[in-house]
Amino acid sequence: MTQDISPLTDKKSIKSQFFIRLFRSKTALIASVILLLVCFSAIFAPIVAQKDPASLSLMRRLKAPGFVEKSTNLQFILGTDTLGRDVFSRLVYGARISLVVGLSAVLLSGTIGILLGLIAGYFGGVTDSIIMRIADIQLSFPTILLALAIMAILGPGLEKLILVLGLTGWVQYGRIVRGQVLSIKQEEFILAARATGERNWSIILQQILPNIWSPIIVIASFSVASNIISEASLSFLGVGVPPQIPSWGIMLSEGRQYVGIAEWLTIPAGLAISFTVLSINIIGDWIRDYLDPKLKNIM
Amino acid sequence: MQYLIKRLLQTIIVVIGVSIFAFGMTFLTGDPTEVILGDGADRMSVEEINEFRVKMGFDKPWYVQYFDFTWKALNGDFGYSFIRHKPAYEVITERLPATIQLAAVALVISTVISIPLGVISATKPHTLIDFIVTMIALVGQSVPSFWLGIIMILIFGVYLKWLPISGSGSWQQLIMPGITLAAFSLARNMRLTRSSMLDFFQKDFVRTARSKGISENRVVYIHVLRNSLLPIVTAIGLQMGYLLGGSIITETIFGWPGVGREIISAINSHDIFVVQAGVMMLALIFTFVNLIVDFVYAWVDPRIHY
Repeated sequence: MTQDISPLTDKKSIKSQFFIRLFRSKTALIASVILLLVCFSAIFAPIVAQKDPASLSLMRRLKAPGFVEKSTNLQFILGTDTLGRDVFSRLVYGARISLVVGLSAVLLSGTIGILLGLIAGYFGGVTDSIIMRIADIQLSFPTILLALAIMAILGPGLEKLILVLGLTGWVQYGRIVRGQVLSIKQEEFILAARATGERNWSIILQQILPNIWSPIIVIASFSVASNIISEASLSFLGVGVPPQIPSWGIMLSEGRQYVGIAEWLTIPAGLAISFTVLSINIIGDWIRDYLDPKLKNIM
Repeated sequence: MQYLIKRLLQTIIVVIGVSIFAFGMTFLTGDPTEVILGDGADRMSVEEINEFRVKMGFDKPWYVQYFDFTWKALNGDFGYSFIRHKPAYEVITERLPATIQLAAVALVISTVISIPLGVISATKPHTLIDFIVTMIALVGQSVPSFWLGIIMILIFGVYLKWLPISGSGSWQQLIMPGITLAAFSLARNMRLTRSSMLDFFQKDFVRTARSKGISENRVVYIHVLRNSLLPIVTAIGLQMGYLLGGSIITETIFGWPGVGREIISAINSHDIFVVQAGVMMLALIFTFVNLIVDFVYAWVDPRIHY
């Protein structure tokens, strides 16, 4: 059996090891707290926001933060936007969109990428060539451009966006998984499994896959961050989620015209994106160092 | 030599793939006629729509259409833009220099700042300057470029009134868009330079060089930097893709008259041919830049074989 000292397989003290290392790094800790806050806001949005993000009233449009509506005595701590909607509520519900898109797209692209990577790496030959050619062609487009072009034709839509981001993002998983499979394929325990007549897919799923999780997890964590930025960018350009849905990107695009007049439209959303992505990146860095510092070269 | 040929063949396949995608774009919803007519189709009768379909050749089988598309494309014919009143090809090529200018400036800003800072950070690890550089790098990779652009407009354009907030022509107008576009790459390159060099410092040949008594400066600049430049150069080449894609957003924010902004405005005005031409153009540029980067990489490092 191959020696594998990665923390993932040291089952005895996985949980305690994990948390001890986490608490040692102050930045990772702060990042985790921020991320937990974002997740909490996303999940419990109705409680955190306490207002309907879609409720609009032209009477109270473009009010500065701290505005209190006389007729209802409602407080708008971050002010209102161009249609009189509560900026804070939209911010909170926007967290939902960002996290939903970020996580779903990663799940989709991860699944596709891991599957294709496993197939290409294990079976090799023509299948491998074809899959890699498709990967090359897809990589020949800057990702945003590809997603932009497709969404431009299809029109804005939450599910469409997740689909597009998922379909365009598989390549990074595919390549790494394929590389890992290629290097593991010749290991003794794999050759032993084949010699004893174990079926291909059983080998792939039960022997190979458990040993290549580390880089996949690292890529996945950074992918969530980049998908959040992609969603914000595409929504900002008008080809992401439809404008009725509160998304940080849409808030920025709407607020852009009022820069200098109503900064509260753009600053909170931008800060939200920045801090969320920053936290994810910090944690992603930490996860990578925790799982295998050698991965620093691959990403 | 073998590598060059393989790489060229691969590029040809990729170019074909790009053309298939650009062509296939209009078929994504099934009927290219509807895509091109957009909302105007609601006001047209069925006969008029069919007339349009025949006129544009959409009733022919898809392989005939693809052949037409490629043949015309090779001759520079990407259709006509009814919004701009000129061939789509011209619409894009007119704006190409502006985009290239912006991307080039961003690339220069990014490289000139990131590599020296990365080197400094690597030679003085775990010091204050290292910490600052790492923080800037981390933040630079997390802040969305369009927000950075908006904030810069706010601070330098609106509050301080130091720089013009849109348009092109003067060098002052290049500064903010250039920095905005460069930000992400800059951050990435800084981290990459730092980690690549730190890695090389661990290698045996560095220890040998030091034990031979070679001055630390020589070790750093000639032995370590040269070697760690290889992955950095590749990364920079790859970042052209990001720069081309990111130019779309940066150009939109700053009103920079480049291909990116034109694509967005074409999307909003349903000028599909311009979108097709623009997407194809950017993808082709990206492909060829990658090809050149790969060749440079292979030339610089004789160990590379495919």
